[in-house]
Amino acid sequence: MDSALIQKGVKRCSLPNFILGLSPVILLLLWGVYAMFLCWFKGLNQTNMNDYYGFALWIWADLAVIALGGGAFFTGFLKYITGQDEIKNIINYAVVIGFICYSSALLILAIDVGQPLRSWFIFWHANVHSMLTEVAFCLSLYFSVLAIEFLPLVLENRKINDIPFFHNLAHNMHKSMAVFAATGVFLSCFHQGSLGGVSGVLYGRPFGFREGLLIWPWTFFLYTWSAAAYGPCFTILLTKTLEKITKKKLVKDNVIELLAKISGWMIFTYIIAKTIDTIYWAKVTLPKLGFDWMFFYSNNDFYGLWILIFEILFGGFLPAFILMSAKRRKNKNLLLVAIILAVLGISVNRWVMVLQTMAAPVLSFDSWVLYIPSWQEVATTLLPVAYGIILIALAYRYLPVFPQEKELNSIKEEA
Amino acid sequence: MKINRRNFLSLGVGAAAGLAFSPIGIKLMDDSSIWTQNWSWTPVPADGEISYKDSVCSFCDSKCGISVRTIAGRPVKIKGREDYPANDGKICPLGLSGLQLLYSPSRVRTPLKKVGKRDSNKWQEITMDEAIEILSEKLKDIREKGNSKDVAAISGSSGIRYALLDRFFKVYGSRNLLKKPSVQDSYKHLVSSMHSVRGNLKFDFENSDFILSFGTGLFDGFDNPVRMFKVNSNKKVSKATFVQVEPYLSNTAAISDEWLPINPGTEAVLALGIANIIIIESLYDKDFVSKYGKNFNDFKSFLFKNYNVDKVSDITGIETKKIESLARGFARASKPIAVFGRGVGDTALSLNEAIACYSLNLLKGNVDKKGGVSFLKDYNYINWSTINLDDIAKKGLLEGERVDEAKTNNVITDSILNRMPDAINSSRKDAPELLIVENANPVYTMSNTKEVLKSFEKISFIVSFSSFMDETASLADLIIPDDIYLEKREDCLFENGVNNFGVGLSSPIVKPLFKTENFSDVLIKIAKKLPSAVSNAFQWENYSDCLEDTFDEKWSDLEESGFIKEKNSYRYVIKRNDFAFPKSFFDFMTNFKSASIDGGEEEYPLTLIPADTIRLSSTFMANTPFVTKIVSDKILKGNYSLIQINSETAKKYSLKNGKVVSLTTPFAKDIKVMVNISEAVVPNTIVLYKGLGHKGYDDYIKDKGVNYNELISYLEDKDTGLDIAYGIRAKIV
Amino acid sequence: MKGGHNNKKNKKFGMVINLDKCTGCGSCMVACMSENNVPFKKDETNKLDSITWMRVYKITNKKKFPDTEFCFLPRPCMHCGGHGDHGHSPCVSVCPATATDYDHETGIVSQIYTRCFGCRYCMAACPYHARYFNWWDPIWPEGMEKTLSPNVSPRMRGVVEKCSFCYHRYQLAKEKAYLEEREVEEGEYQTACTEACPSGAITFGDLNNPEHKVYKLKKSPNAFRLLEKLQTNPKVYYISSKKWVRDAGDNYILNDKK
Repeated sequence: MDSALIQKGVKRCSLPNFILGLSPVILLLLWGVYAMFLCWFKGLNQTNMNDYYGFALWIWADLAVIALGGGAFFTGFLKYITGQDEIKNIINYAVVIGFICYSSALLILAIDVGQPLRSWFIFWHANVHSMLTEVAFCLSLYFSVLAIEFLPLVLENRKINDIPFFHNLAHNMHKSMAVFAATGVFLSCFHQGSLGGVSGVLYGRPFGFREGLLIWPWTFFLYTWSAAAYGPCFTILLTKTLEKITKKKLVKDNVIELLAKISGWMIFTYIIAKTIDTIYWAKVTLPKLGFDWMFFYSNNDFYGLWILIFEILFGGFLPAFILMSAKRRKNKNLLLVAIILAVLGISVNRWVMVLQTMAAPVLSFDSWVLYIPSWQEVATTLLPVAYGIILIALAYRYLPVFPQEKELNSIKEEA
Repeated sequence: MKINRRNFLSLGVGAAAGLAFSPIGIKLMDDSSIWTQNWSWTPVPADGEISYKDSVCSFCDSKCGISVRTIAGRPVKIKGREDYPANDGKICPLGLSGLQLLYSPSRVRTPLKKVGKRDSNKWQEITMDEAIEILSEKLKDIREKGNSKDVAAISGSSGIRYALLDRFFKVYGSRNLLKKPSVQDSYKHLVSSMHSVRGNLKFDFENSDFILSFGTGLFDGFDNPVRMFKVNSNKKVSKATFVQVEPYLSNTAAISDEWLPINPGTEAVLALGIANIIIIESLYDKDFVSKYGKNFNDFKSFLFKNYNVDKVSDITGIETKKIESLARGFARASKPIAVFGRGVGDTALSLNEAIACYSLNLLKGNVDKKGGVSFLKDYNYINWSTINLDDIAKKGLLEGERVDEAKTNNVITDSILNRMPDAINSSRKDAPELLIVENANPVYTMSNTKEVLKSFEKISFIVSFSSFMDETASLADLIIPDDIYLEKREDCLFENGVNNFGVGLSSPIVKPLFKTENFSDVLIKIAKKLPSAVSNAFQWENYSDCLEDTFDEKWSDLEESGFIKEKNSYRYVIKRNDFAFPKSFFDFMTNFKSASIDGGEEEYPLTLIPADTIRLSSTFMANTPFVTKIVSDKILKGNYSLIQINSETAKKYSLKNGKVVSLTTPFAKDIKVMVNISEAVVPNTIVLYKGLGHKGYDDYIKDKGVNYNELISYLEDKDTGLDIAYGIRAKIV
Repeated sequence: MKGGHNNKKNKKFGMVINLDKCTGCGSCMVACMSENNVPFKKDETNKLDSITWMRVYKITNKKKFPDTEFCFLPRPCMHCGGHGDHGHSPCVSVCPATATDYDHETGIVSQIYTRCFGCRYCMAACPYHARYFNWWDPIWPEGMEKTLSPNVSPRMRGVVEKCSFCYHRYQLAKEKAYLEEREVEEGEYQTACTEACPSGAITFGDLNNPEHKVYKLKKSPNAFRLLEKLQTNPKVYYISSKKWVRDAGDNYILNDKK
C-alpha cells in the first residue's frame, strides 16, 4: 500500500501489520493525550503535586529524557568534531532519538506549567539569573538545531527525495551539517549544564545545593558530562531494542562497540567526579549548613542509602567497568546489562536531584513528605514514550535511518 | 493553474512560511496570555472609597468592638475596634472572619415553612408577614386553650433581647424559658454555697502573680479570649507564673510555664492535696481563715485525714515532689489565683469539685482583692415598667411545670436544659406544644444527641429563629430567620476582667441582605397580635423604640460612641469574706470518685475527654470557612476527626498514626475516627476536639468530623442539678 | 526636597515575632486571608495544598510524655535578602520570568501574578514553604466575592502566590504621606497580621531605622532567624526565652555547638 514511500532494498512489514503492531502504543498515546487535556482544562489539581512538590514526576521526566537524548549531541561531537567517522552509521538514529527526547521535554514542560499560554514570558521577561531561563533559551534553540539535523533525513524519504528541490536541499544541508552539529554541541553543553544548575543553585535546599565555580554549581558540569556519557548508552539501548523488534541487525558491532567504549570511559570519569562531588557535598558543604549527610538517607520510608549506592555503584562504576573492557563489552549480554544499568543510573540521578530534594525537610520542625504521582501524571509522562515509539517506527519504516541496514540484510528482489 | 501535487506542496510550504513570518502568531500569543490574565471566572473586586464603620461582634458572649472596613459600601474586612473597652483593638480569629457569615451559603434567606416530614428538609418559602401570622395564630390558639404553660423556648441571648423574651413568657403565661447552663452557673452556686451571697465569681488575672489553672482553657477561648491573650502577654512581662493542670497539652498548657499532666477528672483531688501541704507547712493566711472561716478546722482535719500527698499522687498521677513544689510556689506568691472549670467553660463543674479548687484562694485569703477573686452582681441596665398578668398568665406561671424539672425554689440556676430530653422521653413531663429556639442550636450543643432528637419528635411545633440552616433549624417546622449582627442594631453587654464592663451597641454595616428580620422586632410584632394581656406589656412601637426607651438619657451617648462603660464598676462587687464549707462537700470528697466521668471501667478501658481550641467554635454558631481552614490536620483530616492518644497507649492497642478506628462509648457505637499518636496526652486517655461533626450548615463545615456531644450523655450534679458531663469511658476497636 | 536623610537610605521592612507571647490562636492567619483575598476550599485539611501566606507551625521539643513542650511559630514570607543581603533571595534568583522581584527600596519580595506562568521553581527554591501554588480556580460561595478587597488582586489558577508584607498597605500609606508631604510613619504601615495579633506578639517596621521598635527587638539576645546557616538572610526575627525553640530555628549536627 505504502510501498512507494519505503526505500528500495529494505524489507518492511505490511501496512496493516505495522498499524496493528503500533495499536497498543496508539492507545497509550490517546490515554496520554486525554490526560494532557485534563491538565490543561482543569488545571494542575489533576496531579498529585502540591506545595511541597512543586517539581515532581514531570520535571524528573524532563531531566531524564534530556540526559538520555544527550546521545544526539555527543555523537554529533564525535563525528563532526573529533572525526570518528564510524559514528555516521548510528548518528541518524541518535538524532531521531534526540529529536524525540527534546520535543517530549518541551511538551511535558508545556503541560507542567500552570499557565502554558503565558510560557513565552520566559523569553519576554527573561531573568538572566535564572537557570531555567538559560535552559529555556538553549533548549528551544537546540531543539531547532535538532529539527534541522533531522530534516535532511526526512527529505531523504524516497518520495520526497524525488523532488529535485528537496533532494538538493538535503544534499546541501548534509554538507553543512558539521556547523549545526557544532552549534548543537555548544548549546547542549549549556542547557545540560543549566539543567544541572536547576537544583544545584537552590541554596535553600541543602540536598540539591552544590558549591561550584563562579556562578556555576558543580552539578552544572556534572550534568553536561553525564549527558554526554550516558546519552550514547540510551542510543545503543534503543538500537538493540529496535533490532530485537525488527529481528534485523541494523548497526555493525564495531560501531556499537566504539560508542560503548567511549561511553564507558566517559561514565568512568564522570562517576569519579560525581563521587568526589558527593563526598565534598557530604563532608564540606552540608556541615556548613548544619546537616549531617546521613540525615538525607534516613528517617523516611523511601530514600535510604540504597539509592545512593545504586546510582553510583550500579548505575556508574559497574557499567563503566563493563564497557571499558573490550572483552566485556563484546559479550552481548554483559553489554546489555551495562547499558540498562547506565540508563537506570542516570535516571536515578535525575530523580534524586529533583524528587529527593523536594522530599527532604529543611526546617528542623518540618518532616519528610513523600509523593506518588496521579494517573494523569503517569499518563502524560508515558505520552512522550508512546509518541517516541511511533516516531521511531515511522522513521524506521520510511526513512534511511540506518545506512548499514541494506548491507547487513541483503534481500532478494521482491517478485 | 492546474493544481498538481508539486505546486500544491509549494503552496503549502509557502503559506506556512508566510504565516510563520506574519504577526498573526505573535498577536495570538499575546491575546491568549492577556486572556489568561483576565479570566472571567476569577473575580475582580470593584474599587471605591474606603471607610470604617464601628460595631460590635456577636459571634460569642464577649461582644468585642469591631471596626469594619467598607469599600464603596461593601464590607471587606473586620478588625478589632481600637478604643473599645471589651477588647481594645484586637479580636479573635472567628470575629475576624465574621464577614463570611454575611454571605454564608447556609444562611436562611427567607422565612420557611416545612412541607412534609420533620427530617425531610423540604421547605416552602413564605413571606415574613405570613411567618409572623402563623406563629402568632399558634400562640393565640394555645393560650386560648389554656395551655400557655406548654409553650417553651430555648434561648442563648442576653440583654434586651432576652429581657423581651422573658417578659413575653411572663405575660403569656409560661415558665419554660430555658437556657443552657455554663461554668458561670457553677461559679454562682459556689459563691452561694460557700459565702451565702448571690453573685458571680470573677478572677482578676491581670493583677495576679501566680495563676494555677485546673484545666481551664484560659487561652483556648475562655472568658473574653482577647482579654485572656493580653493577660498572657502581660504576664510574660510581669513575670507572673502560670501553671496548667490538664490531662493533655492544650494550647493553654503549651504556653504556660509548667504543664502538669493529670489523670482526667481528678483535679479536685490535686487541689485538696495542695491545700493540705499548704496547711501542714503553715503557708496559708491564718488571719484570713481564722477571721472569716466558719468551719475551717473541719476542713483542716478533713484534709489531714484524707488527703496526704501520697494518696493524692496516686489518684492524680502526679509525682509527690511536683505536688509539693507546686503547693509551695502557689503559697509563696503574693496574689495567687486558683481557677477552675474545664475547657472554655461551656459546661458546668460539680459544686464539690469547684469548692475543692476554690479553697486554695481562701487559704491565701486572696478574696475581694486586686489580683484575687471577687463576687459580682449581675450587671443590669434594663428597668422597664412592671407588667400586669391576666388570669391565664397567672395560671400558667403558677401551675405550669418546668419541662426541664428545674427546682422552683432554686433561682441561682433557673434552667437545667439538659434534663429536658430525658424528662420528655420518659414521660415524666409532657412535651411542649410549641418550642421556640433562638440564638441556640440545642440539637448540636446538647449532650446525647439521640435522646435530644427523640424528645424533639414529641414536640408538636418547633420554630427556629436561626440565621443559618443549623441542625435545629433544619428540624424546625417554621424558620423565621434573624438578621445577623452585621445587619442590625442590638445592645451588647460586655465584661472584660473585674473592673471593665458596660454595654455596647452593634449597628448595621449593611442592610439585611435577605428577607430576614431582627428577632426582637418579630417578637414585638407577634406580641402585638396577641390579646391585650400580652400586647399591653409591649408598649414600644418596635425594637428601636424599645432600645431608646431602655437607655433613656444614656441613649444619645450610646448611639454616638457605640458603648457605655460603667464608671463606678465596684458598685457591682459584693463584699463578703465569710465562708463555710458545706457538709455535703466533706461527704463527697471523702470517697472521691470523679463526678464528671461516665461509664464503667470494665467494658471501657479508656477515658474519652473533650478538648477546646479557639480555632473551632463549639457554640451554637459553627465555624466560618477561614477558621475551619486553619484547623490543624491533627484535629481534622478529610472528614475524620482525629483522636489524640498517648504513644504508649497506642502501642498497647496497636494503633497506627492515620489509621481509622471505631470509637465506642456507652452512648454511641462504632464512631469512625482517625488516630493521632501524641506525646501530649496522659496514658489511657483519648482526647477529641469539640466543634466538629456538624450535620447542618454548609459544605465548608457539614459532615466534617464527630460531634463530641453525640458520644456523651447528661450527668447531673447532685447538689446543683447542672449537667457536669465531661469525660466518658470508651473503647477503641 | 521633603523628608530628611532617611529618605535616601533604603528601608528594610521586617518583623520580630515574640514566640513567648504567641498563643497559636490563628488570628494572624485569618486576618491575612481576609486582607489578601486568599481563597478557601471545602476541604482544607490537606495542608500541602492549602494557601496560608501566614502559617502558624506548632513545633515540639521532640521529648516524650510528660516532658513534651509545644511552641507556636507563625511563618510569613521571610522576604530573604539572600547571600550578603544583595537581594538574590532563593526564589527571586530562580524565577525565569522575573515574576517575583526584590525591591531594594523596601526589601520586600514581590510577586506579579499576571506575569507568573506557574513553573513553581520558586517554590522548589524556598526552604520555608512560604510559597503557594493555585492548584485550583479560586471559588467564592455566591455573594461572598463581594467581601474581596480591591487593593489586592485575586489570583487566577496556575500561579504562585505568597505573603507580600501587605505591600498594598505601604502603597496606600505612601500615597497619603506624599500628599501631606511627609514620610510614612511607623504606625501607618503595619501588616494585617501585626495589626490583628491579639497578643501583640508581632512587631513590624523598618529594620534599618533605629527609631523603629523592630530595630531594638531584633538585637535581643533571644532573637534568632530561621535557617540562618543557609544565608538566606530572612527579615523575620523570632524571640523566644526557651533554648530548644531557638535551637529549632536552624539545623545542627549532633556534636555542633548550639
